[in-house]
Amino acid sequence: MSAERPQKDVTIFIGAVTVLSVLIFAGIFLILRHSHSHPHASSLADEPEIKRELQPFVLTERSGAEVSRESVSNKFLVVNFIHTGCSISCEQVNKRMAEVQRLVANDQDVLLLSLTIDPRSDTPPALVKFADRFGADANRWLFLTGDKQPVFDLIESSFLRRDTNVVYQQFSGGFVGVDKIALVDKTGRVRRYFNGLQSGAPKSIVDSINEIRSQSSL
Amino acid sequence: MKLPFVFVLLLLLALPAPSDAQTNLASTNAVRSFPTRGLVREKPADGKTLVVRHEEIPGYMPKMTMELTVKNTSELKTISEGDLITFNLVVNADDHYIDQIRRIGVSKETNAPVAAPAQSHLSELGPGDAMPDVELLDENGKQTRLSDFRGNAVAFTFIFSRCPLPDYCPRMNKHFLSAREILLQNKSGATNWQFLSISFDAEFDKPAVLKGYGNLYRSGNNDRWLFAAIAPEVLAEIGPRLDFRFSREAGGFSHNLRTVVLDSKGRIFKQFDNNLWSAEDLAKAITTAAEVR
Repeated sequence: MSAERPQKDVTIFIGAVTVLSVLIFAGIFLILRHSHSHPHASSLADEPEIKRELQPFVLTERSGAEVSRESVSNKFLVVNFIHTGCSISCEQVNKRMAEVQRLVANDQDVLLLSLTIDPRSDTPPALVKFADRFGADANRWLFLTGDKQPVFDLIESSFLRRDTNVVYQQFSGGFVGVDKIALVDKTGRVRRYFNGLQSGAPKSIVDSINEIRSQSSL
Repeated sequence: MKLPFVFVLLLLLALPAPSDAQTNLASTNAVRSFPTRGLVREKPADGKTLVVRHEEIPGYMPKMTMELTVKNTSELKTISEGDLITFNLVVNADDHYIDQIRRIGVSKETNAPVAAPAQSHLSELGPGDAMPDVELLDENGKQTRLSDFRGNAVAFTFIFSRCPLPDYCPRMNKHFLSAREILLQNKSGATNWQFLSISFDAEFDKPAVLKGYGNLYRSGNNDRWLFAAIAPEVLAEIGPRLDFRFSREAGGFSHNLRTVVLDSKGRIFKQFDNNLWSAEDLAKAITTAAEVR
């Protein structure tokens, strides 16, 4: 009797493994099928507002001048997100931006744009000090601020998602991916995002610009 | 007897064997591994990362949204934005990655409307608004409330004692010191005013720490300048309304500067939103705010 018992357990074990394997494979099959038949359904539903296209705006540059979508049209735009109180990661991203500025020094059709995620702090004088830290060229690298609402509207409508479940202890005010650098083509389409913390980002950005240029000249 | 056995087996099979990674990596120094669940918020174009809103990782991190580096990028093929996933978060002292990414479903939230941006923005306080009362733990270990200073003009600002940037917390302290000097030296001026330096790092800035820190700046005179700490849950309510923001970064904090002057009736008189103001500006604001009867 005691010898029979383990054997019975083994039978149950094998049976269970077989049944479960079938169930698991069936599950995986269903999941894969679902993801193939609706490859982007969920992402579209998730981001109804993100058009990934530069939306109209009027904001204030650090010089005090008004800058609008029209005044930067027909240029490649290299865009990042800053706050002048930044000490670590946004500092890194700005160094990459400075590198991009150096690499595109002779390409008059490229502008750099930094949008503040802390507009109340980042008044034009605060932005002037910050821009100087990174050697920003007044004509090639613009720093935009304004009332919080229009600034945040531009960032949210054109570039970054805002997390609805925002934890207070996040400086970004809920924007996801503030360490990214976005590339906008001459038609105003947001073409690609780059990880602004990576040292290779400036080169990748310039490569992308050149690639888009060569495609559009065909 | 049989049924529980089947359930145990089901559990063993269903778990994507994170224990393998754990034991392999346990031999390397200080590498830790956490089986985690989360929602894919974004699949960046670089194909190397995922932005995931993950559940609490007990003993490591509260639930939050993070951009995570993916070890085996081939695992991303079947992952889309809005997917619910399980994965293994592997961390050491200065790096992290995730692996064993498994899609377990699609979030029901994906069709939900995106919430109105930043409610906190709508309820931001401005000049003339009554400042909500806030409880603090002061440098003497005493519970202190903003309302305890009613009848005085109050200037408060947010700092933390480990703040390394000279033009941030230390500059706020120096401005407070100079503004206090201006006010104290004006013998015919108002005497109903108070300075408060509030640490948002209550966990580290215990009363004794704050007292020591404050003494570094107060040059032996504690008159009308108190250091105190605000509890995280209190700050979570009042911080957004003042547009004061911070995040933990590399062992410290990244934060903005918000210095607020209240009049003697506890209403917001003036807000200084960065570090481009002078001690004279603050002394002037205090003088006027103290005259409000």
